[in-house]
Amino acid sequence: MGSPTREKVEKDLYGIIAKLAGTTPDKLKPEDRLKDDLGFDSLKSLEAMSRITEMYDIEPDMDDLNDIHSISDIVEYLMKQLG
Amino acid sequence: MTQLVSEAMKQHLSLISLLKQHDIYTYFLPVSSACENHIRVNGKDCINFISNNYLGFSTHPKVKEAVAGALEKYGLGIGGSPIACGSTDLHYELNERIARTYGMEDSVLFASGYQALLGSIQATVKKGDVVLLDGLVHRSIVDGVALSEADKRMWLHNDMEDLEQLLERVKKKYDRMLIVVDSVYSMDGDIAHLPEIRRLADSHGALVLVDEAHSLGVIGGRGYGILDHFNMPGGADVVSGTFSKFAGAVGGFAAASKDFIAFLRHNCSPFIFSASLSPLIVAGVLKSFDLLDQEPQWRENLIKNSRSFIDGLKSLGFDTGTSVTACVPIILRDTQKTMAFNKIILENGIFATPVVHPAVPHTESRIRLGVMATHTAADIDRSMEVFKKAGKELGII
Repeated sequence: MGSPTREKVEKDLYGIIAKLAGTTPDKLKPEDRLKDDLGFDSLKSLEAMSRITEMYDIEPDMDDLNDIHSISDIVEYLMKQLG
Repeated sequence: MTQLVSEAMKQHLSLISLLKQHDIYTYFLPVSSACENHIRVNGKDCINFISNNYLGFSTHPKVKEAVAGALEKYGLGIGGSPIACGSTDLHYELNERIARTYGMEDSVLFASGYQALLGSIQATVKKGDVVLLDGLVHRSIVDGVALSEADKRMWLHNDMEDLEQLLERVKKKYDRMLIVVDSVYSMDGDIAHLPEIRRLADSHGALVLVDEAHSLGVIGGRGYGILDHFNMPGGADVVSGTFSKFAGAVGGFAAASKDFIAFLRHNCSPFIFSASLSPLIVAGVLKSFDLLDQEPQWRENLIKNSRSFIDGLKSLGFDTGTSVTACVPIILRDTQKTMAFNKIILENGIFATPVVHPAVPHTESRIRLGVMATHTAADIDRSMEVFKKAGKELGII
């Protein structure tokens, strides 16, 4: 089985973020920042990353996570890890 | 050269300065009276909705008398930690009283509620374990997980389906799983679904710790908190909490099995490396437990006042969320409106707490109010007049 497509990763991620944010995927924008736009605290941000990386069986490097702020940052991170 | 106050700190301080410039900074105000239904703030008499002294016990004459007696006998403090300097007979009596309240074998006292949560979690889990947190638990719980070095995961607030899915996903990865909830949530005033949480914990092999901060003295047939409320003796493996709400004092506790408490007493840094709780506090808290049993009118008043307060706010058109207890939010969903609302009500003699970003998302901005058993009908009526005025002025209702 090959790596998941960007479209599939985005769909999964938007579903997870929307659930945690109490909204629907269509209301989210790639530039939305977890903390400043969606009001995620550090616990919720960590949970978002844990859920998506769990889905693709990735072990996230905590140092990498410091540079992740927006939804598009997470997509890029995941694509790099899955590449 | 490294500066003590970094650029990031300066940025944070500039936000505080901005609030002060606009005269909407209402934190750390000087109080010059006792914590009663009316309170003197900044030299002005206000109706007190900022306190968690729900039952008003901190100024009860019998509590003051008990504290005066303890002062005469023991003086101000023990002079060190319980492990080194011992505990008074009052401390042991309170240990026994708390254990009995929760149907547990033993309990331990902490210098604060914050330390009680840190210590309870640190003693329960370690690296290689995981703590599963409701998304709205108190900060002391999150910090307790950090101290324990266990991993932390969260599930959506009071969402049992999300908790079950999380348990399924993580249970194979960890040695021990600990579910932690607030019995009553401090910002929303709703109650944890303990029966379902216990069921899920048992079916997945997890432990349960409840934080009784806002529930002891408030919910349950006898006012003994969430286990009493759901009639679930043994519903939690560890019960932790504070005396800052139920008794309007300070200090905290953990109650559990005899062996767990014995382990905690020798392996819990927030307990071992803090001075023993003052005998004055212990005497006052013991008397507060007596009052809970002997003077049920305070709890009855609290229930009556909370219902009347929530109903009043709803009838004015305010959003009070899911609150069913004495913690009542007016959810305004806008940071500027929340700060402006708070300014208006404070000018009109209502002392409350604005809760805004980053404490909550902008869309969850709110005024947080604590109802007291000692509020009079006139206090509630007057507060409704002021809330109505502020709501109308800002176009909220």
